[in-house]
Amino acid sequence: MTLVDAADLPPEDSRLRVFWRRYRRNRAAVLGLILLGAVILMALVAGIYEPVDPLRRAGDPLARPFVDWATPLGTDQLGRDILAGILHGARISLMIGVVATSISITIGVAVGACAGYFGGWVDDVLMRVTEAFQTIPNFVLLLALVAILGSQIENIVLAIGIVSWTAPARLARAEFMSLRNREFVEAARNLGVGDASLIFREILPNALPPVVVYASVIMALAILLESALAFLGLGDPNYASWGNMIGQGRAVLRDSFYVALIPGLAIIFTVLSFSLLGEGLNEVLNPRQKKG
Amino acid sequence: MPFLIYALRRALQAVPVIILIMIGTFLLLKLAPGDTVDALVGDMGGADAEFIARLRAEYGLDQPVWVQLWRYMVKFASFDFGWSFVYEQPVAEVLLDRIGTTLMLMIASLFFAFTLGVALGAIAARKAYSLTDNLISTLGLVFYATPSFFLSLMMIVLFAVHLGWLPVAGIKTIAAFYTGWEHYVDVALHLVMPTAALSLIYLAFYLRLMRSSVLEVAELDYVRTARAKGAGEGRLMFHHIMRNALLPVVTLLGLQFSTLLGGSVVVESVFSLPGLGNLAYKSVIQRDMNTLLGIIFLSSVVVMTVNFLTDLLYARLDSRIELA
Repeated sequence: MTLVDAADLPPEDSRLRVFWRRYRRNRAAVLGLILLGAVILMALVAGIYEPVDPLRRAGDPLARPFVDWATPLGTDQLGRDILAGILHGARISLMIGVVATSISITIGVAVGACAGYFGGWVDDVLMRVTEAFQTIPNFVLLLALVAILGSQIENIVLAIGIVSWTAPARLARAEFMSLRNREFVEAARNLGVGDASLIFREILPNALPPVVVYASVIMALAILLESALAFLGLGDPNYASWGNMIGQGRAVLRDSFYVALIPGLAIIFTVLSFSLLGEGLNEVLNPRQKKG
Repeated sequence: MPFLIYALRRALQAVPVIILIMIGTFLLLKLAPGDTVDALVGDMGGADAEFIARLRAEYGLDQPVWVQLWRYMVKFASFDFGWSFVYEQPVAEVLLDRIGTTLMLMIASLFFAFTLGVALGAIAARKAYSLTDNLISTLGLVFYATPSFFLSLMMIVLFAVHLGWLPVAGIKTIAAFYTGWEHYVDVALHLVMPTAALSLIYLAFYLRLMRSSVLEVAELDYVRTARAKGAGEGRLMFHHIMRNALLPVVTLLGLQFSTLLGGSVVVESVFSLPGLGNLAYKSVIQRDMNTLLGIIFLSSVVVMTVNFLTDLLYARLDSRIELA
């Protein structure tokens, strides 16, 4: 075992450094971090590479990749620069991943915390609602919500949050149930601390690690859901989106399949980075869960 | 007898969830812009206000919300989902026409994902941390990250456009009028790519779960005992480890079914299969709310049935579960 013993560490080591030391032991997780860094970099340079509009005509339609340096990855059938779309698409994907995950985790933790902390009929009612949401196929519900709310990007993000909160809710509930009668909570309760304060200040910080790990899964899921919506032409038409680019590429699949291939690889790498990141976080934050 | 009582109790637990889903779809219908009468009037090309008011009264849309909800639930409970203004048919009939294709795709995908995932997961665990294991595990991660629509398109490029082995779209060759065996072969060929596209992500799930499950079970005492008694590695795997390692995978089978149904929307649309998923997509484009909500309800019922069946299967497989 190469477990770092707390006593062996110099005392001035910050928690962040301990965290990093444990994290980098998993090489796949480090690769995930590098991939994610690349995606973030893509999102950052998007404005420098194409400051005006990634959806504008940049050259002749269907120019092949690696031929003309004005459009390094080629153009689609409307002459739009694929590289510009990829870079700006990274922005949209990351934005959707982060915001939708925050919404989903907020709803999930709120529901799970109430169900796990109060128990009894509150738990019964909230768990039936969670089951109902789990039963409805999430992509079909997403379609219905987008049909009702409209395809603006804010509504899509909100809808993705609404269809993906059930797993964090179950996680948070399990954590709250196991923590609510622990000694430190009892102690605080006996000191006269109120319910709200017990939930947010005592239990929540201890219940969060598994939920944080799961956030990377939701992030990946949110990006996949948005790209599927955009692929079907139900995304926000005002923004460059990888899914939408693949949908456009479908029309010219026969002769120019690179139009669909390049954004597809971008999605795969991004989702892969979140999966690897999640595994690394899981090993650091929930060390008891997995030995192998 | 305890098994029957368990089944009955488990079925009763589904009732509140079904009621909640009905209330949910009713809320969605109320949130959607326009109601049945708007759709009817739009269909007729306009009508005067008095006629519209009479229609509203006829459809009960002037009643209090609670009365409407009650009527809505009674109708849904008897699988009456209203009228589809796009297909000019009762929604229930439209759904019934298409559910067969979807179920066929589901079953084929689940079977493929389950068998291959379990087999690969067991092999990976058997050779844990070897090159084979790394290869299989990496493959699993990539499968998980690949969107089904992207995979579909790339398969179309390779197998339909360049190699010409498989048909691009549809459920059968329309102009061929095949009968008997030729018909079945034709349908099966049309389903190869959709099944592969839909099952890959679930294959990744099963693979990963099976791998960790086998690793966990292989450390248990009874496995060591069996090995000490001289059981061969093959017998150990199939007879001793697999049986217990499969339990969590069976649970996942039920849990993932609703996601699988959701995934069929994209795959059916890409391959233009006449199933529920494709219908859901078209209903959104054509604003056919009655059909869309009917699909939500019907697919929820299918998911609950599958969950119920996996629970029963699980209770049968795992004798540690107390039925009472």
